Amino acid sequence: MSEYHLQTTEFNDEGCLVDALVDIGYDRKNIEVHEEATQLRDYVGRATHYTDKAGDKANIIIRRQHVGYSAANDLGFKRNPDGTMSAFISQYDSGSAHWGVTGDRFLKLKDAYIERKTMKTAAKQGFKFLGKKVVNGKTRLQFLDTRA
Amino acid sequence: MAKIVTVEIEKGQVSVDLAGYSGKGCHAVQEAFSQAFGGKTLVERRKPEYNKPLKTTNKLTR
Repeated sequence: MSEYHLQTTEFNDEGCLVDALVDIGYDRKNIEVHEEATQLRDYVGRATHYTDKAGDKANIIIRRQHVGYSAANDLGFKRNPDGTMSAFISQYDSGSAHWGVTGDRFLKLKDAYIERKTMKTAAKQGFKFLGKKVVNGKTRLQFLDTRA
Repeated sequence: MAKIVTVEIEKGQVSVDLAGYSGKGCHAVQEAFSQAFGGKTLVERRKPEYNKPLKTTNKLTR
């Protein structure tokens, strides 16, 4: 069963999202970024129409053969009018061992995204990056507040 | 004097150490980082003394 469901996320920066996908192990050349949302395909390559009769379409896509496990469907992120991104995760892929929002993969992506967005925001706001440490799965970033 | 801000990220949760700040400083740092977190997962940590109960001068009398 590969019915797609749209999962809302707090991701609102496409660049940071792509960088975060790379950070968790996806090859940048296998991450498609489309200005115009593009058709998603299921585990055998059929175009899907679960959320939209005109076709399930996303702006950032990892094709099924690159998702990282067998029988995967395309993984997609669609840009919403408010700037946030919704994740297209199929029913099959929404198990916690795959791409379920409470599973390891999604949490790793969320952490990687937050890290990228924090670095970007901090630089913009005048904080100087001092260093990063990872201790027991917890990422610690330090910044020098140079605003005064 | 320049201060150090520590941001910790774990399982989609973020905390910002505001131990070096007080008053408006806390608010300014929070505001500076709120763009990154969407204001939803931010947990601030303050000076430990802020978490202690306030000393009271009232005494119960019989």
